[in-house]
Amino acid sequence: MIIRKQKYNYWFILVLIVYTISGCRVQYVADYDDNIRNDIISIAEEIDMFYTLLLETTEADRTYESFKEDYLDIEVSLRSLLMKNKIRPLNEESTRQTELALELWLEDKEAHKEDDTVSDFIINQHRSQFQRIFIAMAIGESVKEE
Amino acid sequence: MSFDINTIIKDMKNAAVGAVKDDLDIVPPYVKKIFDNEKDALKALAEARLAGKISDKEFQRELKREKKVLEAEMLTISIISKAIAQKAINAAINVLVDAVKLAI
Repeated sequence: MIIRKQKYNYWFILVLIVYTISGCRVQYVADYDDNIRNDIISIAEEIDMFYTLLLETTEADRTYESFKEDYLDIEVSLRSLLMKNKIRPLNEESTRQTELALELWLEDKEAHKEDDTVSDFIINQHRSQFQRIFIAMAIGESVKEE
Repeated sequence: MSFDINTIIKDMKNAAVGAVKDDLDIVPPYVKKIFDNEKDALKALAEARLAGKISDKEFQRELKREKKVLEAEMLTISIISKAIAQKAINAAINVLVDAVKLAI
């Protein structure tokens, strides 16, 4: 009788465990988002194209006015990505990465406005910096669970 | 109706390891890549400053930018760590739930 009662208790506990944890899923980071990944690749391409065009232009013709529109287009793309990242829960790291990319972009814009030209050396450095940030963002997105 | 806790724990461990194997493999080469990139960037900056290609103001500005780039790259390591923990725990719990469902 006691053994039978213990057996029922055992199954009761098991059922309770299943009931408790079956809907249970831990979540520490946002879910993977294919649209965000595509945005990351697309903005990285926009920025790469911007620096390629800048390098193709002679240093004397690299005035801020000639590239103002590109700066603004890319700024809008970065702000859009930032907003999308901000509204996703558990997404602090990706949000901060986008904030950093935007900060660097705005610094670039201000420096270009101030100097009214950009050297080949700075173009190559900054192109590499953005590539590194966008690779980091893409890897960060790809490891999130679907 | 059997419930062998030793087998289940072993299966939970295997599921957890299997779920994160690919992500764990990413980390060491990526960390190496981050610091190789940083080394190249700082070397280029130092050489440019010494050769007079950039002013001291530009050098300082570029150092601050490198700090931000490094921060962005390190944040990915944080995302990978969280994703690894999440995938491992969820895979292990799924094994336990399936085993208990089968047993009852």
